[in-house]
Amino acid sequence: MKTEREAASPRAAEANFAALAAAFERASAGRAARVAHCELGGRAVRFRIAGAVLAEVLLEPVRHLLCDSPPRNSDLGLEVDVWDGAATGTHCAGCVVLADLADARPHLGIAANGQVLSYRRADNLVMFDRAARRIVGWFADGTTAAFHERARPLSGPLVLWCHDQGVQVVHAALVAHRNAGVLIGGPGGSGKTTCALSCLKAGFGYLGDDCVGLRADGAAVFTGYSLYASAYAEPDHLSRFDGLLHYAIADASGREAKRMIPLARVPHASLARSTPVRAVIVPRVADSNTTSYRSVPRGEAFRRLAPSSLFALPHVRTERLDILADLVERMPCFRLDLGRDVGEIPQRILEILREIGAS
Amino acid sequence: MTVDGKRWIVNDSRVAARVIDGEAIMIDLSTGLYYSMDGVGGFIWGLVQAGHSTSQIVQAVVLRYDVGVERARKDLERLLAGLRDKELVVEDDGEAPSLPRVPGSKQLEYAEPELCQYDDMGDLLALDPPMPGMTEGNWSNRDEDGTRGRFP
Repeated sequence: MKTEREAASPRAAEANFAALAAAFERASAGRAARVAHCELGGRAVRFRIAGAVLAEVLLEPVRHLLCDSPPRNSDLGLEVDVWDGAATGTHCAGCVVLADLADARPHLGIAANGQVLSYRRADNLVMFDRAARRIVGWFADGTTAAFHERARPLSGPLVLWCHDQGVQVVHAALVAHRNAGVLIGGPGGSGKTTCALSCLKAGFGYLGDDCVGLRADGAAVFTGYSLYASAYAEPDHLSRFDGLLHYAIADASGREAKRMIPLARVPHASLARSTPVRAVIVPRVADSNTTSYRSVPRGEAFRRLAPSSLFALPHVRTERLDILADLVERMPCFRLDLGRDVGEIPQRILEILREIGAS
Repeated sequence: MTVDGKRWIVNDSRVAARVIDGEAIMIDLSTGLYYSMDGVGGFIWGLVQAGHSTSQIVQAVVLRYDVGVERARKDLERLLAGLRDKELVVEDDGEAPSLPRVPGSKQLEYAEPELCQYDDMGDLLALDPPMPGMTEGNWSNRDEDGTRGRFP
């Protein structure tokens, strides 16, 4: 469904944010809000979540990023404060009449100066103050949180925050073998999830199947970051990976055909937080029994990698292409033709890493 | 459209583009369509991106490729008309920079520039991207009914 977009005066937006933040304080007053710290994109993030069920829902996909104690870097990069209306008895109001959103279309609002954003659906409202580096959000009921929120919680504001920190979120999968990461990019249906899950099963470090962070850290040095340890795939596709279907969760609303796999629940899954990126792969499904690879012109790699990354991002700006352009110009690029035996994929990727001297 | 010294520049308000290893990739952020041109087309796009006039582009193409002026001019007219129709370029009356020295002494083989269009991203925009982008509108602050619309 299409997203409705709106603009607001900075003063109105800031007032709305303050009202929502005050509501969070009321919701969490006298209750033991779940406090969790994680490392996201190399920065420290603190979650405060009022409502036990909502806390489990929002923290599951980032469980692999959680820290036992606040990170040594005391400069908190982001604060996330959210509450469960049903669990706390504090409901959301003031900024918008949610009863208007009967058709459940998402609404995205932005202050004219671009500093405060709101992401609204019928059952949740999340606001992000970029200057304050704070996200505040209300969810109507943690037990009925939307499917996409269970797989990619708070993705709208988190992606924008990543960009503010110099981490570009790209529409790609990312796996790693012995500290050598391979970015796997391409449009939907090109085989990113297939590659990522087959590598997961083969013991590779898993960082994501369609949404990962990328930072340029110097000349020809790129770091890839995991954002969510969850994967999306059709049930018949998941059945190709022994044991994963058992952990798959279906969309209770029936709107989404794909299943979501919270990979932190999968035994022996190696979930990594970050990795140096050493190669770029653009897969495509081939009508073949075997999987093969070859070097690909950098222009072709960029053409397959860039468009879907741009369209998946808020606040699209042309400079977002810079990191991707730099990446394909400096990293070896390969096309991977995926055959019917998914078990061959990790082996081909290992061969690529050996070929470039990264394994 | 005639090639007459006018300047056509990249429509920055809706186009993101890069030239990678001679292949120009242009992404129309409004429609979800993206395009590519390699060879002569990629070379031309690089000159458009640099802000050169159409007559300068003809001059550069003739220097770099084994092609006559008239054919180069005619092909450029056709290409620019297509880019304009797709709103990838817009006319501009600014001053063009000096043409850089075209590298190499041996002319390359010429082929008519061709714009390739890809529409597989259109569905992604039509169905709503997972992380939405931004456009203009009105932010409402109504709270008449007092039900789920007010903080307690």
